[in-house]
Amino acid sequence: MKTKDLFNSFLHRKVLVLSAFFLMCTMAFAQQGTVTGKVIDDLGEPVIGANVIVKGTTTGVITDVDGNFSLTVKDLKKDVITVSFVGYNTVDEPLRGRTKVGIKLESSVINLGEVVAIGYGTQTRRQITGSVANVSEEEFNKGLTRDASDLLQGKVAGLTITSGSGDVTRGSQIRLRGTSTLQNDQGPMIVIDGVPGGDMSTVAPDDIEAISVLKDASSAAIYGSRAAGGVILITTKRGSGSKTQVSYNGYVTADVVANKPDMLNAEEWRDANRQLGNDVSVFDQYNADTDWFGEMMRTGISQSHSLSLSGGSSKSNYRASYTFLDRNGIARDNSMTRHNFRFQFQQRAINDRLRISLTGSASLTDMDMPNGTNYILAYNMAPILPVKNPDGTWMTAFNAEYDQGNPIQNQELNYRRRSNNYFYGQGDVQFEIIDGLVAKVSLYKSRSSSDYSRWDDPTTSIGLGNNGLAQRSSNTSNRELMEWTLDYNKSFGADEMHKINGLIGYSWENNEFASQYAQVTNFAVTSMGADNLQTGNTLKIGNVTSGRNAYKLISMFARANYSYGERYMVTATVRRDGSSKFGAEHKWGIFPSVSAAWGISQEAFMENVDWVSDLKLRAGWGVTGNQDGLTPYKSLELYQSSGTYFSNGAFLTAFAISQNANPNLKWEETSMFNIGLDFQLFKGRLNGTVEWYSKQTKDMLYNYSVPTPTYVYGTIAANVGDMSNKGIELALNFDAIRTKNFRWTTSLNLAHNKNEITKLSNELYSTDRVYVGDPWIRGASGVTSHVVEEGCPVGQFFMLKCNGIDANGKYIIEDVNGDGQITDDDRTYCGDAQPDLTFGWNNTFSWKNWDASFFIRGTIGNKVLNNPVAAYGNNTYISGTNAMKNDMLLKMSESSRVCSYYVEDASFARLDNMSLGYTFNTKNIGWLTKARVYVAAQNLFVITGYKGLDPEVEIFRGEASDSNAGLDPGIEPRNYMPKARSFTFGVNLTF
Amino acid sequence: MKKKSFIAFLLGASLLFTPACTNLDEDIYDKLPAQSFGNTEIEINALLGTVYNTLKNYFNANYTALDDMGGSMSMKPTRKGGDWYDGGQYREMYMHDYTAQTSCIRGAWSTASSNIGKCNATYQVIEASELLSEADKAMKLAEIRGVRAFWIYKMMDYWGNVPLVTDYSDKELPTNKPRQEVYSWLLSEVKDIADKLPAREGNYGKFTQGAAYSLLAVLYLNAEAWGVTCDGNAYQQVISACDKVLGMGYILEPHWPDNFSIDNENSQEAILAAVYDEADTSNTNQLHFNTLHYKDNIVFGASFSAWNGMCAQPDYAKLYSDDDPRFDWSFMHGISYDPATGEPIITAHNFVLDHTIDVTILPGTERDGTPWGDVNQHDGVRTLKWPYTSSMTSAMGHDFHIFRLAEIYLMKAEAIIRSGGSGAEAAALVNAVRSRAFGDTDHNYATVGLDEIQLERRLEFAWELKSRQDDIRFGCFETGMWSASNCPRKTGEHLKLYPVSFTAWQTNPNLVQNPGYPSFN
Repeated sequence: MKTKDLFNSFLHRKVLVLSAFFLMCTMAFAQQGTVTGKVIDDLGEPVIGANVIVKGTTTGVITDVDGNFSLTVKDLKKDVITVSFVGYNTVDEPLRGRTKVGIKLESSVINLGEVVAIGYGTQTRRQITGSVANVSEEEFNKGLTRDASDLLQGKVAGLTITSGSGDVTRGSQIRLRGTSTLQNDQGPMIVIDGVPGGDMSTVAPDDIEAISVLKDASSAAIYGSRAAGGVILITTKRGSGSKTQVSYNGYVTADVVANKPDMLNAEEWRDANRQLGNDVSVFDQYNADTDWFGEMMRTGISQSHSLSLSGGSSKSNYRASYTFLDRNGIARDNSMTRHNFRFQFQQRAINDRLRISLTGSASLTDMDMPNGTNYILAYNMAPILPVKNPDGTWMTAFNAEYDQGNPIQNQELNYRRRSNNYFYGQGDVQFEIIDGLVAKVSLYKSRSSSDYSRWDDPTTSIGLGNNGLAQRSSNTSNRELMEWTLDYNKSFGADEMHKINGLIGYSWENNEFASQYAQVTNFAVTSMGADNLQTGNTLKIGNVTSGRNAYKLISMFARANYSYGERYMVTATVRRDGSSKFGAEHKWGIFPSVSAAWGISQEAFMENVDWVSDLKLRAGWGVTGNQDGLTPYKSLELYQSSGTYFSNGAFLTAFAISQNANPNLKWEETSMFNIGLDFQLFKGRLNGTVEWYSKQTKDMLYNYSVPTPTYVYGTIAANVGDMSNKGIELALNFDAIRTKNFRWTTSLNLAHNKNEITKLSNELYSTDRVYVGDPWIRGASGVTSHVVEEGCPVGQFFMLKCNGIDANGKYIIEDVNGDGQITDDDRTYCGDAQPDLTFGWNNTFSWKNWDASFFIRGTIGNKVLNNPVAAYGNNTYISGTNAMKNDMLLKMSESSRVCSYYVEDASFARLDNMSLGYTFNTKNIGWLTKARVYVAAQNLFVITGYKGLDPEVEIFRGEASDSNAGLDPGIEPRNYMPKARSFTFGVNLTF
Repeated sequence: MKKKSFIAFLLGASLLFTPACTNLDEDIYDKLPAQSFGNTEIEINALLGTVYNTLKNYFNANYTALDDMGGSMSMKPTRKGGDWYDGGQYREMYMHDYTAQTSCIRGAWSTASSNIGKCNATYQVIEASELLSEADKAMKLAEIRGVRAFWIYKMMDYWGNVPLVTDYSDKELPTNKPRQEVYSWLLSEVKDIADKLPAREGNYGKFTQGAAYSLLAVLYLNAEAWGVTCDGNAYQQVISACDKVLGMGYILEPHWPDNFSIDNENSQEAILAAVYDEADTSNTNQLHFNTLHYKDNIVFGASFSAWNGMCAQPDYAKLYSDDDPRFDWSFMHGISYDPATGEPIITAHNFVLDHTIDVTILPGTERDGTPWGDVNQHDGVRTLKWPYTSSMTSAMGHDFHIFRLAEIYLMKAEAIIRSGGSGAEAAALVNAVRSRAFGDTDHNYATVGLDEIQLERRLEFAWELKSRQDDIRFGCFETGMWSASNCPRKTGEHLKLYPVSFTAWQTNPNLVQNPGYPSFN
């Protein structure tokens, strides 16, 4: 009824609307003209090569040797010119009818006039009221980079990017301002060119212009339901100005093993066994001395080539790019090849009021993934065993032994391969209805698919148990997104000091996922591997499966922003989000935010304070949501097949309730309060930000334990717990030296976060402690290492407390409950895996045509369980296997156990990357704009007291989809792949 | 003018917010909504299949630990290097030093109680179904109640005072009911369903009338040991329940091993069976992994590699007389040879893989201030009752018979003795079992007392999860059968009930810990 009325009224007014459109298009009586001007710096010297463009267009020029420019504009009254140059604050100068302007640039270590992406829009740094960190191309990490997280690692205070493994097919794990949920914390949401929920691997590093990190809830709340972990906005490069440009970036990298476990060699092994009185003659008959880790590793040579074409006119611009990355890891069976294609085309029409953009992207990735089991085997294989027999065949004599087998044979004959395709297309249509009022619709479609093959040859230790195993599986994700926004900008008052901005929007999103899987075993003919499943002789029930699910997300959102000069700024947002995943009565959630900033330096009383060039105080509060941990259908009572049952001589498929349904399932909410102070001192030489935040997550989604009966299963997806993160962050940038030829800029960021689980029970569900973490050494099946408990942080170690090794070589375990025995009841708190402080220190130098940089990052106060030493630093198995060198090796008389003896301080400082580049003088070469060569090195050294392979370990080791992923951080696992040290030579060319 | 057109635009835009654009109903593809399932007889049988599948997780490592390791039959010694110490749980089981944290007790509680929940959920669906005939529905509901009664019986056996939840829609957190109350409920429940259940013929794998009367016999036989009472003389009722079963057409399989072969679904002796399939991947029978040495698979020409866990308590294995064939049929003992070479298999510790009856703690390896220490990898005799095949990988296809006729014979004999009956009459029953095993009557008894009956149960039911209950009933619960170890068992009447698991209490604070254990809170 109502809908119909609306529609009728729309029909009646259709004529009106159309006529209004045409009216507006012809209404603009623009006064075209040429404007000339001169750009000088704060010392009055002309600035050469500054960019001068008409704001909001691609029309622009560069200043000449005297700092002069001349530019044609459409509307002398309304147009604004934007002048920018590296090392200076960008200036927007409204022409207001003038044809001659003088522009003064202020030098600054951080460009306060820079335009930064925020959710559904942009602002200059000066205007921002929330907590937003922006990293642009010149600050990106140097050397070999796979995606945006590699570019960003260590650059932003409070953003922890962990690459805990040398496996080149494994992505980084990202946390912003601590872990904010229990279940399947996915870290920040990725937004690529305005499309929420993207995948970093779809954007080649060379295509990225800038990355914004929305750190607090007041800036992220516009993304509402999925922004609880923060938001990372990736802005890709666009075709610029009226010049066409061809760029080539290429590099070659050599990866070498940074560190591998310190195992006994043959002589040391014989000696140790002799001292322990073991007769090893039955094993020691091969006359070999094998470094098993060494045999598994190699020097990996990688290369990357990136080509981009861009250009445009005053009406249109385009950019197309192709990047090829061939990445070979240090393990013999580990590689990744990726092709990234991307094009963007944008055109304006109807007096520049209509703007249409098209974007297409394709990423094709092939991966060879290492099998972690091989590292366990390498720890266990005695050094006196050879890789191959004298006749050239594989040494397989130990393949059937527990945790033993020939890892090199596994690497050579077995495989785990994955091919990923990710395609997406995006179309934006934007129309300026009246001055300052812009309507926009954005349509997006993506499809990603993955095809997996696994083969375990029956002669290898991994394939032996099943007499060969082949697996094929695939999955496809489809996504459709439609967003409508209406944006209004208006300035008024004297000198247009009052500015308002309003935005409303609607978003509709549909996601579908489908998968299939088949596995067969028992192979007589092995030469076809996983390419011919029907060769396998055994197909078990449950080894052919498929699945499909879907969910929808619908949102309405609005933002209002008011500023008076750059003195008083206030922003409010609200988003109403609905997700089909939740219970019928709880599908919708409301996520508001408000923030304000006071530009203190703009006040009259600050005019004479010379040493302060900029000072801004910000405060914001907002609420964001999370549904990451939740697969669809969790609120419903459903049936699914569940094994087979026997009836009348045959096995039939049984059906069972698939889960404990929770019709009350709802949004998890995170509210955050943030206060920040941005300052720029000493004529722009020192810039910094100090921030304090308090983040409170409530109604945390997690699989909570419930009693059976009344429930059918032991856990239920529910909203129960609360968590708190509080922290302070400091970022400083300092122009240490700035002369005509030499410049040294140094930046430091520090972050402290305190995480605490504040609640795990409510009136319906009670849990006060969940045991998690499975370090898994022999003799410790099911022994856990961590707890999730009220009053503790995520990553709390909880195990037997060991006060050393006694003279008899036994662990001195503390009898915590004093009952005279050591049992599980004596487990206690043994430190936590979260650092007290994370830091990054960057330095860049330029001298004439040379540029150089080095970057150190690290953590202080985090603990890591050195599980390999716990498992192999003992002599119990040494006669048939191997052991790690350590002081206690021969003294131990008790088998290994999981206890605090192996929990070590893992504070570290890593020389993450350094580079040296030279830019050739191309002034006299007409066809060449830029030519630079560079060398870079990554992970050159680590300073740490940690005795294991590397103090920086993955937050979670399995798949991100595991429901407990991330709850047992700080374990160096036995199946850990060593990291690489990388050396790169690269070229940048622009034509 | 401008303003009006702007309003018109907004109205147009608001068209977007029609119901279709705010519809968040879920589209369900790979599962079935509850209301659309259970509408055909095939679907109802598939639900019933889930109830029966719960029986498959009785014959697993947790219940083996509670029934046979807490008893005198088997154990998981810690192997040199530490394998199977696993937080001390198997030491705790053997030495009766268990706590609310002992992991196999936790697992056993959670599986049993979850299975009761599954039964309740299925009961509700089938009860509401209008599809089945009254008779058919009554039988199916009785089957569900039978399986549920089995699980409630096991919980009552282990923990005594347990929650009694039989209504799926009842979401109140339950408290422990006293053992007597649970016991009385079980008696009336099993009596009520006994004659509604399917008969023996053609119903292998089902909860039949025979299963109900066997369960009744067990309930009456243990009443005294459990400290519970029933109307009338319990042992007389054991006898009448056994007589019911004996009249149902079951026979003692003439060849004893036929009860345990890969095709033991053909056994005429089986009364209640958990039916496994070698080709299945869920709820599988993994006995071989649990007991065999890493290299024992070579002996059978199979490709799997086992976990070197469970072996027999030495003194138990020594109970067999030299000519009792059940020793060879039940235990893998002596040296394991590689059939390809004829040579003994050598372990990674450079020992001949020789499964000795004796299990010897290596001096100096004692752990955590107890006499419990590590033993060599190859020590201890292993399970061989269900013969392994070369085709086995991750699952065994052998079924497990929760009740079989031999037990009916021995229960009746025991009830006769315990009710003051004739030793000769009881001997006839024991002899039926004994002569079947030996294949002759040379080993028959003229008369038997409780000692002979207890011994016969041990010889007959090795690895069959009878040990703890028998030991409590025969009064030898505090005597483990690993005398050489000097690992004493803790003593105390309260140890005859396992402690309620800490994890169970965490989710349900209404649960109360059993007497003698530190209370929760």
